[in-house]
Amino acid sequence: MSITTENNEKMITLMSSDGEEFVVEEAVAAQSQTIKHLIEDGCSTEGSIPLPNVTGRVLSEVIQYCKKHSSSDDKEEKELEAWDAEFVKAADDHVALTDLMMAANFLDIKGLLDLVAQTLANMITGKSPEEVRRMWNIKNDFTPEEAEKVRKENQWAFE
Amino acid sequence: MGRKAMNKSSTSRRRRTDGEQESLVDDRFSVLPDHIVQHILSFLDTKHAVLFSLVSKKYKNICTSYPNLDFDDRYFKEQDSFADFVTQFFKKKLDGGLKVGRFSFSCQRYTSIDPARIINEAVSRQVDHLIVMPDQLWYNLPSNLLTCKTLQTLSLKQVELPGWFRFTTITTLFLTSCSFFEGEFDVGLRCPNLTTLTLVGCNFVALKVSSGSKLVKLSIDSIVCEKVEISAMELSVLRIKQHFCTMDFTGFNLPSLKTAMVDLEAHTSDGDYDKLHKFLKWFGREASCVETFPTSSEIEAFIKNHQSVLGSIKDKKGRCWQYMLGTRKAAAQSRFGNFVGGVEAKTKSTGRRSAQ
Repeated sequence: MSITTENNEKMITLMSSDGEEFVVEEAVAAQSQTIKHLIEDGCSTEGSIPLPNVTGRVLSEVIQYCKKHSSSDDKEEKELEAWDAEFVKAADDHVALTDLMMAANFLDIKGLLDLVAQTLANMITGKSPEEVRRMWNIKNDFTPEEAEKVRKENQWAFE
Repeated sequence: MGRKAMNKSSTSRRRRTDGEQESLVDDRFSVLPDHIVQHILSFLDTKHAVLFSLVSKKYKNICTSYPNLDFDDRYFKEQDSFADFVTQFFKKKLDGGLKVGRFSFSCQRYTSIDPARIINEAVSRQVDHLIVMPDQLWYNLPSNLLTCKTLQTLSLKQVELPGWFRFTTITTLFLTSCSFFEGEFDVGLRCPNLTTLTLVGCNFVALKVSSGSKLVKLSIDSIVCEKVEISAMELSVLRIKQHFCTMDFTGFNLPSLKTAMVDLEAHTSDGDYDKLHKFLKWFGREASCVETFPTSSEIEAFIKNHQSVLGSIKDKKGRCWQYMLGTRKAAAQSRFGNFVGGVEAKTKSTGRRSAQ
C-alpha cells in the first residue's frame, strides 16, 4: 500500500524474508535498483513489497544506509565517508558483512556493494593465503603436492 | 518509521564459539557467488589479489583475470622483490590483450621498473584510469600514451609534461610535482573535456583556464607559477592552498562558483598583504561560500586587524565572511590536509571498481 505523509513524501512498505515490515520513503527505497524497478512495475500499490532474500536485521541496516545516502546531496563528502566507515565498523564481523554484501547484490545498490567490497578487501590486505584461510575458516582443498607446486610457481608473490 | 524489532539472536549473527558455529561461519563466506568474489578482488592491490587466489582451488578458479591492476611497493619489504613481482606478473598472469579498467603503479622508493614500461602496458590494455606515481625518479612520458583513446582519469607524478601533452578524452587529471615549460599551460587547449583538475607542488610558467574550459572543480596546492588566469564558466568549486607572494592571480571570471576554500600561508611584507587583501575581496564578491584557514599567527593578526574592512564584504547570499580562527585553526588545517590527501584516497575509492 502506498501512504503519503504530511510532508507529501510517498511511503512504501517493504517486507523482509522473516516477515518484518518497514515503512520507508519511496525516494529512500528507490536507491535499490531492484526496488525501483518493482515500484515502476506497480508492485508497491498492492500491499508491501516482499524481499524474500533479505532478513529483517540486514534490511534495517540497508535502510539505514539508504536513508543517509538519500538525504546527503549537499553534505560534505568527508562527513559521508566518515559515516560509511562507522557503518561498516558497526557491521562488526565478516559474517555480518557478507550478509550485507548479499543484500546489496540482490537489491542492486552499487554504493553499498562497493563499500562492503572495499571493507572485505581491506581485511584481506596484508595477509598470506594461510592467514586468510584462518580468518575466514576457508578449507584448504589443495593436496600437499598441489600446495607445494602452487607455492613454487607463485613464490615471487610471497616475497 | 519502520516497525522493526531488531532480532539480535538471528542466526547470521552467531559468533565463532565452537566447532559447529565455525562451520557456519565458513559456509557464510563460501556462499558468496563468484561475481561478488571477483568484485572484492577488484578492490585488492595486485599482490594480495594473487595471494588470495592461492587460498583454495575454488578461489584459484575464480581469480583467473584481473580487471584492475594496482602495483604498490609499500606491500613489499625489499625493493627488488617489488620489481620482481611486477616482471613476473606481466610474464605469467597477464594474458594477451585483456582490457584493464584501472591501472595503478605507485612506488615510494627507488625502483628499477621504468614507469614508461608500465604506461606502455596500460595503453595496450585500453585502460580508462591510469595512475603512475613513482617517487624517486624522473622519467619521460612515452608518446604512445596519446594513442590511448579510452583514458578518462590520469594521475601523474614527477614528470615533465611534453609539448605534445594533449588529451581529448580525459575528464579528471591529477598532477603531483609535475612541470610544464612549453609556454603557458592552457587547460582548455591541453584537455578540452577536463572537469576536475588537481595540481599539487607543480611548476608551471603560467596556468590558464580559459572560458571555453569545462572545468567544474579546480584545486591548487603549493604550485610554483608566475601567473594564474582563471575564467571558467562552469567552475563551481575552487580550492587554493598557496603562498600568494610568488604569484599573480588575474582575469578571474567565475559565474558558476559556489564554493571557494582558501588556505592562506605566511606572508612577510606589506606588499604581499595588499595582494592578499585584493584577492580576498575578490573572493568575497564572487563566491557564495568562502572559508579561509589562516595557517600562521601573522595571517591571523592580519585578518583581525582588517576585520572592519573584510567584515563588510558580503557574499552573494548576503552572509559575512566566516573566519576560522583560534581554536578552530587546527581543525581547519586538518580538514584541508584531509582534502589534499583525500584526492588520492578518492581516486582509489572511486577508481577501484570492477571493469566488468
